Amino acid sequence: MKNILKSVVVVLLITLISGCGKDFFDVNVPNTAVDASKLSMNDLLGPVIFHTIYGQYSAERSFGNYAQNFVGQGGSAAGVTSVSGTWSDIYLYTLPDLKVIRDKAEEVGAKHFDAVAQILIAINLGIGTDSYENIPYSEATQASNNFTPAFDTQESIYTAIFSLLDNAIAELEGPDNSGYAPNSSSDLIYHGDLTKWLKAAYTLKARYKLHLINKEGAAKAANEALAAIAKGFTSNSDDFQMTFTEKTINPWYSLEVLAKHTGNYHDVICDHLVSYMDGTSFPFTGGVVTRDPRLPVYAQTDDGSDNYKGYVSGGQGVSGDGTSANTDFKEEGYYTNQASPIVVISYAEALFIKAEAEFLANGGTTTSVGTTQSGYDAYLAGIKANMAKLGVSSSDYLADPSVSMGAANLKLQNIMKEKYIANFLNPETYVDLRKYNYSTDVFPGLALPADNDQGEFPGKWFNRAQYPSTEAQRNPDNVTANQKSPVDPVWWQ
Amino acid sequence: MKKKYRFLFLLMVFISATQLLFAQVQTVTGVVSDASGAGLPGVNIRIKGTTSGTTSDLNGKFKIQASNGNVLVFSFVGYDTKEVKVSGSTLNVTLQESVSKLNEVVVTAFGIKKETKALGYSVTQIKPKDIDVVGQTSAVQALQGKVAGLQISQTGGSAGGGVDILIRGITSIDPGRNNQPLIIVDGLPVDNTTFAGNVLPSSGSNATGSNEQFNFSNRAGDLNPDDIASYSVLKGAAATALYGVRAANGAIVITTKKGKKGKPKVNLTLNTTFRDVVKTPSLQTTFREGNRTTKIPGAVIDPSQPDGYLHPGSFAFYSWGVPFTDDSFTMPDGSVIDLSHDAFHSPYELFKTGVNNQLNFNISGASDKFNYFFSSNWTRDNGILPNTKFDKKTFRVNAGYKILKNLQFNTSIAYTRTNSVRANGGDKSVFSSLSYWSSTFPINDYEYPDGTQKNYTRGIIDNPRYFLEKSNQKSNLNRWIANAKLKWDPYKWMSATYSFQVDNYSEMRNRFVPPDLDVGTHVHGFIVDENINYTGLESDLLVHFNHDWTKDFNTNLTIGNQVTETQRNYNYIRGENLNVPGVDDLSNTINTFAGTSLTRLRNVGLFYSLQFGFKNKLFVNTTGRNDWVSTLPDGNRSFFYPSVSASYVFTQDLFKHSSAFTFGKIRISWAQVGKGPRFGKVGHYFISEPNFPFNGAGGYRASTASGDMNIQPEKDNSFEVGTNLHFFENRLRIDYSYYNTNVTNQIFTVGTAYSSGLSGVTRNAGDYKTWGHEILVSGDIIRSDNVRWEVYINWSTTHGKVVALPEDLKEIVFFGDRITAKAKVGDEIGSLYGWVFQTTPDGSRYVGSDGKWVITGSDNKGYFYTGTNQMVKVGNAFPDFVSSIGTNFTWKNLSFNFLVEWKKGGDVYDKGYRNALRNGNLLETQFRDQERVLEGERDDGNGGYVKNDIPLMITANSYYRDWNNYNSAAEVLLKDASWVKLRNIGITYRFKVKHMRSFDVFASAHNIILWTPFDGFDPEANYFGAGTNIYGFTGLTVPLSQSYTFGVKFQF
Repeated sequence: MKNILKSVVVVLLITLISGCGKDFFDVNVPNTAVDASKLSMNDLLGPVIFHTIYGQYSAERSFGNYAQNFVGQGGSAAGVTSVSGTWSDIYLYTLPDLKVIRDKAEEVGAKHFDAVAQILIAINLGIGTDSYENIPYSEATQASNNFTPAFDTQESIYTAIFSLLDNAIAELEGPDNSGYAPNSSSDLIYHGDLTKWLKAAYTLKARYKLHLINKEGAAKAANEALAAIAKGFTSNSDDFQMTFTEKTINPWYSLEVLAKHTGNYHDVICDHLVSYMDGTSFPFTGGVVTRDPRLPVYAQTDDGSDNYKGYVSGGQGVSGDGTSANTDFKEEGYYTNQASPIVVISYAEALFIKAEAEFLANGGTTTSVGTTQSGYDAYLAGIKANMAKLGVSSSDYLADPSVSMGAANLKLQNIMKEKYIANFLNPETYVDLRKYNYSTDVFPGLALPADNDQGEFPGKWFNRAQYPSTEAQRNPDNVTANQKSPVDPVWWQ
Repeated sequence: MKKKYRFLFLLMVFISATQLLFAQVQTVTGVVSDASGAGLPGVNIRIKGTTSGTTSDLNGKFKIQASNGNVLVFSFVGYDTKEVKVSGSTLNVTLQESVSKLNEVVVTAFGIKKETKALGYSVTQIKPKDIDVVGQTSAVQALQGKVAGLQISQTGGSAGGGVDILIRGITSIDPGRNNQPLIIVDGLPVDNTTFAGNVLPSSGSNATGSNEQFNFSNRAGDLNPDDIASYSVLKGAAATALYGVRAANGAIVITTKKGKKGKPKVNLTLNTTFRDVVKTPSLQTTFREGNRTTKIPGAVIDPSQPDGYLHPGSFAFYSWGVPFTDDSFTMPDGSVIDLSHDAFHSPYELFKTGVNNQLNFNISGASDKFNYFFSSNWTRDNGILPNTKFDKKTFRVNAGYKILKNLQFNTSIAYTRTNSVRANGGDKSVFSSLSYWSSTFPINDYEYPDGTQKNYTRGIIDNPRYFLEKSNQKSNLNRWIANAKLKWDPYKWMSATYSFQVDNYSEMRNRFVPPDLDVGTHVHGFIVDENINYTGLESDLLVHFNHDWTKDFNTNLTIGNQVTETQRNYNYIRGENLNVPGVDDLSNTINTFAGTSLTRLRNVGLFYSLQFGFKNKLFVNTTGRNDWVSTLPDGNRSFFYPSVSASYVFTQDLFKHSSAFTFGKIRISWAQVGKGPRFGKVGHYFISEPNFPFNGAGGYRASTASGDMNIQPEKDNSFEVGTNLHFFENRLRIDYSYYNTNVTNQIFTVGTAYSSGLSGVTRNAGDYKTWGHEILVSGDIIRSDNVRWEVYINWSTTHGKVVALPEDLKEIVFFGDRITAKAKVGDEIGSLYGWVFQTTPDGSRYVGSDGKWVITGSDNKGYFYTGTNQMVKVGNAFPDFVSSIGTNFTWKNLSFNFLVEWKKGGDVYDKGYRNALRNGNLLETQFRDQERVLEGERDDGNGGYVKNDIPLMITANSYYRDWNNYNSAAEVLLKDASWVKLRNIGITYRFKVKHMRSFDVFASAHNIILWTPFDGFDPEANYFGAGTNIYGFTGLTVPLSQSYTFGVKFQF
């Protein structure tokens, strides 16, 4: 027995030596993990902006097809979408980190940084609610405190957007002596220029006010938009956009140009867009201009000819005149080269917001003619700004009587046509289409995809994205309570 | 002789002592040899009824003083004991290898050898001679169909591809965690990870993960099958409780060959295996490529055209065109297209015969002090697809040296090198392209003279052959496993063993995708170089004590300590945007992404095992283990779990005099095993944003995964009861087990709604149970010196059920698609959900006024694809039962074996099926452009239903491609994947040749007969790689093959 005990003691000693120390087991932290306390607000800002931009891009991949900027290869119209990339960008990659930025800003009294964070939250809520209608916000991104956030109505999301933007405006207009501010490299939009962030907040406020013409009454919404836009963007250099690099290439370039280069699936330019730019829907009457000079910036033909024939949505490859379509994305176009920007909101749009708001505030309707001089000037300035941005001459185009018809002859469709063209590849166009309920008075020539009658929702436009399947599976009660048919209108429609 | 058998010999002596005989003593000499005629050294030879005896020498020769009429008892581990009466001075004896499982010694946890009768749990031991390992590249795959409760599936047909191993189904419902058993070689665990890495581009792939892209190897495949002396399959928690955390899914304990006393033995085996695809989806052979609405050909072979095709239509993609028998097509504008040269070309011409050549060499021997075994294996395998291969080289040295009388040193070094080239599977792969391919075009006509892709679709899908030639994954692996063991026997009642092992491998992988393949397009081609470096360190100390308290009562105590440390260093560099399209070199890429991850696990275990033996018929064993696990949070790191098992050999008491009932034992056990979470799952961190640095800005973001800081260890509580019954002198053997396991506090990553800001949380969530039955019946139909014929039957079931889930968790989703693998409370594990056709009250399919069926989820809102919550349970991925029947037959020098395995039930969704259906490629789409009245009932107009009589014109758009009314329904998509397979059949003839121990010629075939109602590639291949936890999906992977092996074996 003695020997047994001795051996047991030996075993136990060896065991203890082999180490059950705490340090020995502290190997469970991934090598890539960083503690939040070691990160500055600027360390978090870049990715948040990057994903804000990607959220817009993911939405436009479907909505650009709905809005007939482009169609799938062979002319295919997009079906039901859930723009799941946008949902992930909002809830996984922007809102949680913006919350951390705001907490950090509050700790040190960095009001301006907080304002930037609030503007970014507003943009993300905006694309979210305009895509899905009701979305989680007040209960969202609370991590383990709430795994099944309830959804807020679109109305309350809009309230939140305005409140965020108003707060941001107040903070940016006030002092901040904290010494913390977005730096030039992390602020991928304005490189630390807070005056531009302030103008962006006003411009965004105007955009979201104008979304509510069917809810608040056109005149009220328009006047509120006008009040905000007065302090909005003042030049193309104010554009809220992120520029890609040759290293991290623009996703539109990757999706539309690279794919085509290698004979792979890509989108093609829709006949509806071409019809707005080649005189089909809005005939040029001056005899000088036969084509919008921006068309060759957006698109190119298969054979390099000047005869642009866009693809009819759902038309199996035919163009509007019944012949084969031939128009693709431009290979080194303004929006389709490796280092192209993705634009959230531009100076040109600000001017069209002003023009549209002036038109409506002046009692304009979808069919009425005439607006204020200030509204007409904004319309012309918008065209000029956009063409300057794209690097084409606007003088001939603006000289054409069909474009410069005078304030008394301006129709809403003229403003919306220019806004449509200037907002190429911007999901805001899909809001405009829905806002005016696809009216052909406002959008002449707009038609349902040609094969719509064979689809699931004959005679109906898609008005929303469906909630992504992950949300439907993991937050089913709230999704079921808010899910509507893809063709049901959203609240502000 | 090892001490554990001492009581056996005592028993023998005891019995013999009563039968002492006295006679004239003489010197008897002779040779003991095995069935092959080789001398057996170390055989115990005893005069029955006395204590005097001897052992045979190195050549099997022996010399003993005995009298005529004495009975000599020849006994040797692993051989049937033989009694021979002395008559004369020479006596040559041949011993047969043991088939009796009665006194068999099996290898249990930590290499502890135990008699089967003392085991209170189920262990199945398999000897390589009983299985057909020849021509297999995986040592574990050879166990297919051999062990009830062990399910082994190939995950794809790539040589060296992954093998999925499940013992008693899955016990961990974490979709991200695998359920692979622990693989133990010579008492020490070796890594069996299937590591998928990160092979996806930054955009342009829809794949959910890398694990569907290539048929990655599981690392147990690095073993050389020919080195294996035995396998023990430890199934239940009681069997593996000593191994602790890592063996919660069972263990496969492999023992490699050792040098045996005697002359040096040399074995040389040469064999060649030919492999072919065993089964392919049935295709329609009537209709050519053409538009799904207009039938306009999109492409017609025409060498005079610049790209080799005339393109009358704009979209060459579908096989919905006119019949091949039509010699022309009139276009809407009246022009006529010549189709007179069209013909059906099978796309399966893509496959070729794979050839596997193997050379196996080993030499072994031993003296009193020293033993050695050296082996090498060379395998070359050219796959069943062009430009795929798998080469493997292994070397192994096992050596032992007796330093002192009571101190033995053993060491082994195993080296493996593999080089492989693999084909791409999954989304946007060779196989997804193949599922779309129209049979109108020869598949092997794939490139233009300048090396660019020839493609009738103008790039909509990739040419599969071109894909194979240009894009693949290369892997190059070097692995060393070295260990040293010191065994010290200071006293008769005590021994101690210390073992240390290093298991190290490094693998370099390279995936190259040129810009013109779909998956590479969005990033203009990409290259992924990956480097995986694994080191596993293992230190085991075991001290054994045994004591016979009385003649009838003894105890065995083992105390042990195990320290395990593993570390995987993984880094990758992905280069995108190729400068020169065809150059596979990272410096040829413009944009690079890099990542590194370090996975470290540390585990210390302290354990004991105490066995009481009473009268050699009642055994009670209890174990306990305390683990300290690094993956748990600080406060919950240490946990203890016990087991208790008992076995009772009742035949000694109850059927003492029965000659028919030779042996009967019942066994019962209860055990607990604990488990921690996966690495790095506890806590919430910030991580570097993968797309950054971007334009000079660095960036971090919160991880979307989080882990509960108070996570508790998961506990498996297993109960098992079983019996071993042997009849007619062990000629009929039955082994039965029933088990059930309750798993509480399951740890897994619960997928969370993204709106919470997290994609998943790792925590304790829910209880789960498994249960099943296993029966093994084997019988020696003939057992004589010249003829031995054994037949065995395995049958097993495994079930698993979700007992409870936390209130906020409605279901666990393993994988979501049109068929979704998920489970709710009360569901069996493996449940598959889907949308189904609407039915009328009497169960008939409801037919709408348009003559079409209606899918239930498609409610009046007109959409059903927005979530999976309207899905209903439609099947289960796991079989109802698995059964096999096999036989081994030996007649003199001829031996023959076969094994048939039957899997009943188990549903799968073929991920390539819907593509091929929608494209008009499958045989079922041959019925088209004709009317059919779908079976079912329609509204009778008065609120009732009548038999449907509304004809439906069956076309691509109205039927096959219609997802609202047809191809989203589980009835269409989910298929019964029951099968019966002739796993192997083999024949060997042994020639006796001078100067050689033997010369064998053999031929065998594997998987040559497959019967299944499933139409497609062999459904055994899982869509996901080995080591995932997602079952129920197949297709889009390298198909499985049948094989024929021929070879020779020289033994000197």
